[in-house]
Amino acid sequence: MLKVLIADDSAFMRTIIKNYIKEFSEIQIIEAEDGKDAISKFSATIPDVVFLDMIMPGLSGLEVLKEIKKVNKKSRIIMVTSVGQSKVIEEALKNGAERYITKPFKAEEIKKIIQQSL
Amino acid sequence: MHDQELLDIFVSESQEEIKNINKIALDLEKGFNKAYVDEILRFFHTLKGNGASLNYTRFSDTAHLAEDILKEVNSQKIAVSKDLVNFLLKASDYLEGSLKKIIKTGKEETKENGLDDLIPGLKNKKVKIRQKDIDVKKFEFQTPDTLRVKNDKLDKLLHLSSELKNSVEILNEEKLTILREKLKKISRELQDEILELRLISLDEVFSNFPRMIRELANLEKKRIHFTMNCNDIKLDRSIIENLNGPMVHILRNSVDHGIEVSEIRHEKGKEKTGNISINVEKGKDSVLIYIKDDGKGLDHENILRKAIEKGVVDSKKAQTLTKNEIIDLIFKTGFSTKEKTTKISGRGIGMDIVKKALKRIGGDIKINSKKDQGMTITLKLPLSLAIMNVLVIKDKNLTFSIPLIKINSIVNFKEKDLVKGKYEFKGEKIKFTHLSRLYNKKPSKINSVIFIEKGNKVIALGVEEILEKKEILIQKLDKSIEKLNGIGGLTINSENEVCYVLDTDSLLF
Repeated sequence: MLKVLIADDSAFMRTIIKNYIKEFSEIQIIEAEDGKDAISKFSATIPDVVFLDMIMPGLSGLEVLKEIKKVNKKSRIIMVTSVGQSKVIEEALKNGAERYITKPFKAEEIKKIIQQSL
Repeated sequence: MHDQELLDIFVSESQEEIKNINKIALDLEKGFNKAYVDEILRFFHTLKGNGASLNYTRFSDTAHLAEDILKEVNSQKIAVSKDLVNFLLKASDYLEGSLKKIIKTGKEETKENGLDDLIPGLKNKKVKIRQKDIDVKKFEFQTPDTLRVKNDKLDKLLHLSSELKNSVEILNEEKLTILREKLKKISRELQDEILELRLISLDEVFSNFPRMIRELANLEKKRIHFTMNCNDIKLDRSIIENLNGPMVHILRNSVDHGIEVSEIRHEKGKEKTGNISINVEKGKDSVLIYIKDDGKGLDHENILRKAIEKGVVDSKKAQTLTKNEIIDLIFKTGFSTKEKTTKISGRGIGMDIVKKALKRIGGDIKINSKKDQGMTITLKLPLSLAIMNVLVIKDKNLTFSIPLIKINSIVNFKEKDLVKGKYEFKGEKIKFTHLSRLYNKKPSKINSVIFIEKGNKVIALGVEEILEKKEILIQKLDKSIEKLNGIGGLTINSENEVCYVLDTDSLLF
């Protein structure tokens, strides 16, 4: 069972990602709605893949990234970003994020990421 | 066409974010605060990303523009100013309008957002944004057609209904008394739960008012500090629907005619900034809303003079009026103290409409005013429109109920007091009618007389038998029944008979 954590303060964005990957049967989805929530759920479940929103209330995506990398280095972290965030993206990649996707993203992009882990 | 569920989440989340933007933007007006800027920035950021995901390009671009401007605020290239707040509010207005279009048609607003023109003013010297009149309608709360129900609420309802079903299944004669008690309890709970679903928080309903006051104050070039405390009180949606208009009207009157401009306040020895507040309290059977301002208050002499001019009161009677009675004149149809048309509205205009709207929901309005100290308007509202306290009466084997709020008093019928169609009560001769006239039957044997009031008018209604006082649940009338004269609703009584609720206003006057 592949564990996927979706950390985004927008329920809408979480639903979009969920919709794209719900066709995979071997998958367990965990949701977090802010930075703190993301860290605690990450520590509790150690997910294989994390979709991590860059801007969230409280802790930013970058701060969360640094924290969860301390907990488990192997998890694949995909930063969810928007246009105009090149600086923080660079920073995130330096800090161990595998890659980033930019909103609006296509279903195929997300599915591919999951397939690579299955 | 997008997946409807996804679209619903998009809409409700965006509405929430826009509401937050409006609120924080107003707080930001007090001065630069990084936490506020970050928060608004995040909301616009989410709107941008979410909008783009559904291909709402203009929606997304507008949010993006606002986000960029806020980034420049954080890097101190743009200062926090009234113009900045205006810019942010205009952006959120555009997004809100676009959302409304999306709800209706699934398509976003295609008009330009008009924000580009404002940007030079943010970056360089301030440009004055000329405001014309304000459409305060946009600040009225729209009661939503759909309802979001929390899961635990739904579970509770499901639990209650299954308990109801189980109880009916084991129904047999031996257990009847126990079951009766049980059913009573379950149905009571069920009713309470459903009624609670109809409640809307006043905080939510009034959430646009800070912005409305700000815009109106800007327009009138007045300095106003506005506070609101709703104490987490909720009201039935049907009451809310009738409350909006009056609230908006009262508040704009306070801004336009209550609060004085700074110079005049200063001359009067008052603080330059005026105050308007809304406070909500829960009474025993009602909710009280106090709208208070520290403006100039009502001018009794002016009211009286105008009332005479308009023929609302004759000059002889005018001499005898108390201060409170003079204030009551502003609720009369045709009254207005408006001296000249202003951009907003004149105090007094439409106060009759305000009063009517409140009467419609069984509420009331009271004004306390002190010259140059300000005034407090108190709105008294029922807790629910669906539940009503009534007096149940029987007449010719039909059951009726009369809202208690409409009944002045009840006496035993005495033949000698009825003279030529008038019933004598406390020295007054009051117009008398049989309830049975309503349904064209021969008069029943009358045992009691109920005095029913509407405003200053009273009528005596002869009825056969008074049964009890009780709390009932009103059902809306079917269109075909609605035509019946004097019937405002119906309910089922404890004997499983249909019970008509008299609409005393349409019946008697």
